[in-house]
Amino acid sequence: MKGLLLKDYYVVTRTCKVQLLVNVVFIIVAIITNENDRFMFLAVPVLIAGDIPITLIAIDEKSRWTEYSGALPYSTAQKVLSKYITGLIYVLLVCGIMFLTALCFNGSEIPLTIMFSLALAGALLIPSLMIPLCYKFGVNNGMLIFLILLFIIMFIFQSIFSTEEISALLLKCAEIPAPIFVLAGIAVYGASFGISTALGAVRGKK
Amino acid sequence: MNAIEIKELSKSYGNFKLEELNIELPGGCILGLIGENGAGKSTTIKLILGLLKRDSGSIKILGRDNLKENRLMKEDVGTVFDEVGIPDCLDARKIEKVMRRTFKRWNTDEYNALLKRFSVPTNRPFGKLSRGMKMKVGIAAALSHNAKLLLLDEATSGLDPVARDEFLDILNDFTRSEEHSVLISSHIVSDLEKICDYIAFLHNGKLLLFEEKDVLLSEYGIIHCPEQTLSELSKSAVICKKVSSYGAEAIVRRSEIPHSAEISPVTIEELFVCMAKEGAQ
Repeated sequence: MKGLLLKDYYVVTRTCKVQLLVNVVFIIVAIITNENDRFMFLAVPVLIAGDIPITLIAIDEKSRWTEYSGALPYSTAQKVLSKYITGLIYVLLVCGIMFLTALCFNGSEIPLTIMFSLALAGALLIPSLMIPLCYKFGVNNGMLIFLILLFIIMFIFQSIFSTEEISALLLKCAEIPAPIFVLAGIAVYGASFGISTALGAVRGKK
Repeated sequence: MNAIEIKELSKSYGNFKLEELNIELPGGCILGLIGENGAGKSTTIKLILGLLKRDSGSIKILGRDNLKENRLMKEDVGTVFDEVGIPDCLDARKIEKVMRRTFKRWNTDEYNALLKRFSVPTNRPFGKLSRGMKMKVGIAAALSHNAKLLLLDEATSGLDPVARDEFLDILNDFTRSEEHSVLISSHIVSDLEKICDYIAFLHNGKLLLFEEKDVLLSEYGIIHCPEQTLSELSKSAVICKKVSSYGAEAIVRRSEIPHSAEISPVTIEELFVCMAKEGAQ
């Protein structure tokens, strides 16, 4: 599987330069902005980093690598795992950089570990939902279905809970130990890998 | 040992149906798969690789079931698709690094030698290469991991005549060893006629014919005669005919034509076009 990881590394470093630039811009803005908004500017790149596996799958589809890799001695699980590992490494890397930046310029009252645990969990949760859809329906249709599902979930959530209740729920979340968020994010990410492997195998062999 | 053994292979999806395909390719031979667009050539290659799920039948590659020992099989198979399938940002050197970590028997020297022979620039991103150059990189990768079987799906398309000729020479060299075999599909039938030992005609998912090329060329021929003479021949002798005000031209089975008749050699392309048009068996 080393070959797949290396190929994904080349693709990330060559074609995701815009994302790297976005990270730099967000860091600069976070440094010069006021202390209360700083976390938001540092958390957004972490969340965006979660998108890397989707970008890789889209590039694979466009370049026909998806088909070509079928002729290489790799299993479906290896091909899917490569995307998840690359995504995880990238998210951890960005999260680490943002965390160090926050450490240097921290002014927020909420402990940094909780904030970044939440950001990390979010960065793992979003691709966990999107990647299986992309393997099942293709990147374009998968992302569209994800957005529709997100809208439906948010609509239901808003219908059931009031704004005060949601705020209270978020405050309660802050009481949960930080590692729980990270562990939950990794657990969902792992489960998503299993689903993607099953869907990828089925989609590839219609 | 046969390189490819396909028995009663069927696959249907949408309006397309590949029907009970039977092909056996001995080691050391080249099989040309000929068919119009949508005939089932790419489907056959994808079924061999296990990229598509077959409805029925069996496929053995180099003596191994293609699904049960899929990854092991792919170590022995080099593949080039009509669109090579390498991301645009990778150059030939990076492709080598990826492939070195992919195939157990990867041969860097062989790869570099082929790139040099094909005059492929090693530092230019794949996306900036011409179609022909892209094909050459794909071919170099397929030939550099000591594969025993090459599956080439329209691999000569996009190559200029000189490069095509060079490529055909490479295939000829490759099959000098009895361990090495090639399955090549192409629209350029003249290429296949030059190098293939076996020819398979696919038409609308049906195998019209699978035979040794030399047998085909000796079995069939063309006659030019008046329409009246043609009508006197047995129906089974005439594969297809073209009648004009100048007379008739027909592709015929030599064995069923009177010895006195003058029969010209037929090309594989003429034979295929004739059979495809007639839907002959």
